[in-house]
Amino acid sequence: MDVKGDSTSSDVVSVDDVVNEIISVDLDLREIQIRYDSSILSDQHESVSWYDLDDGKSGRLGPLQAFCKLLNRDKLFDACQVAIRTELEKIFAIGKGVSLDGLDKVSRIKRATAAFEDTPCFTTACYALQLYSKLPLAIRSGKVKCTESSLEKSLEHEFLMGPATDFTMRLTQLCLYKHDLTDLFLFTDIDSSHLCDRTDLFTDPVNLITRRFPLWSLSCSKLCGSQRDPYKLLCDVLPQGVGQALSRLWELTRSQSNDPSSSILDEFMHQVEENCL
Amino acid sequence: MNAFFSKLILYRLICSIPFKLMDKKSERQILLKRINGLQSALEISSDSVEITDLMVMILYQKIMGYVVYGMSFQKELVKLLISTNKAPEEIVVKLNDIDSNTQELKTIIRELVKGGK
Repeated sequence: MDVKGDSTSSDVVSVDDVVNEIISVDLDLREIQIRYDSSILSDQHESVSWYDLDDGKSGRLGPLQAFCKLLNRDKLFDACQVAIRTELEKIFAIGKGVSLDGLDKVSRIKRATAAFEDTPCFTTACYALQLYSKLPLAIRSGKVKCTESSLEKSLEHEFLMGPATDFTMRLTQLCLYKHDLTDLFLFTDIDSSHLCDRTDLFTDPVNLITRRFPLWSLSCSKLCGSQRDPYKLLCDVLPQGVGQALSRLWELTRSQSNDPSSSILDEFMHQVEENCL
Repeated sequence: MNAFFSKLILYRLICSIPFKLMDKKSERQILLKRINGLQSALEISSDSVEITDLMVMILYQKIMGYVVYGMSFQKELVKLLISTNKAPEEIVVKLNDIDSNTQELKTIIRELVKGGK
């Protein structure tokens, strides 16, 4: 790999490096590329920089250079930089003799995240939300005729206090765990007044035959003042978007909706299908 | 609830794991697993409140295709189940006095689950 003295991080792996790597492993793509531009195999080939791709200075692009242009987007670039920075921090941590703690923490978080992503846990939690929301949605849409007007509200309330709160609790615990902030918050089951002493409940499998979901409540521990607003503290201590999103989820699980409109939910379901598939 | 779901879109930003949408196959699998779990729990339970809860949960899933859990407004749920006219007559009759017909309902439910109707 050609690393130039004044190169930027985007030049460390050049466009040609990527193209050559692709054509070395895929003969079909190699043929397509060479059919378009065989000079890439020549020593006299003038290399194309990542900046040239965006500036349009490279003239007409071959199919694989065009593919590289698609890769060369700010969002992906930022994600790669974050990943590289994280890896570098780990390497430097090892060099400074903090390897054991650092690696322990990294592997602990990796294990916990892997357990969270495990099918009986996270996937089932997502499915549970969709399954438990079906009946209140069907009543709202008129698919199920219901003469008891209060039943729809009761089901919605039960959904928010049960499966939705369980999901939010898992998500919150995972984020606190990842950022090493588990000491700042307490989770209490209001129904049984049981204070949870575990910080990794998010790795537990979701029990779909349960008759009762714990009524989780979030509060601040004594470390940061038990009178503080826990939702605000989430915003203060977690990265901006994460804290705000979690805080809002908690607020929603505790809110009583007075809006009879169903359009937001329909829109949401549509957006989820659009964005998550 | 609408607003809660809207916020879940942000979920992907929170922990970088996409929200898992349930397809028909996953739904069938998870519902089959659930009904078997509920039936097993019903067979071994000796608590009357638990038995009633489990029966309503099973009947909702088998007859209506919806998932509910032991709730404080169970009577309203039973009324709704009856009013949909989807439940067989023999079940409706027993459901009208669910507490007195526990054993008969258990037998019917056992057959219902076993037969996969």
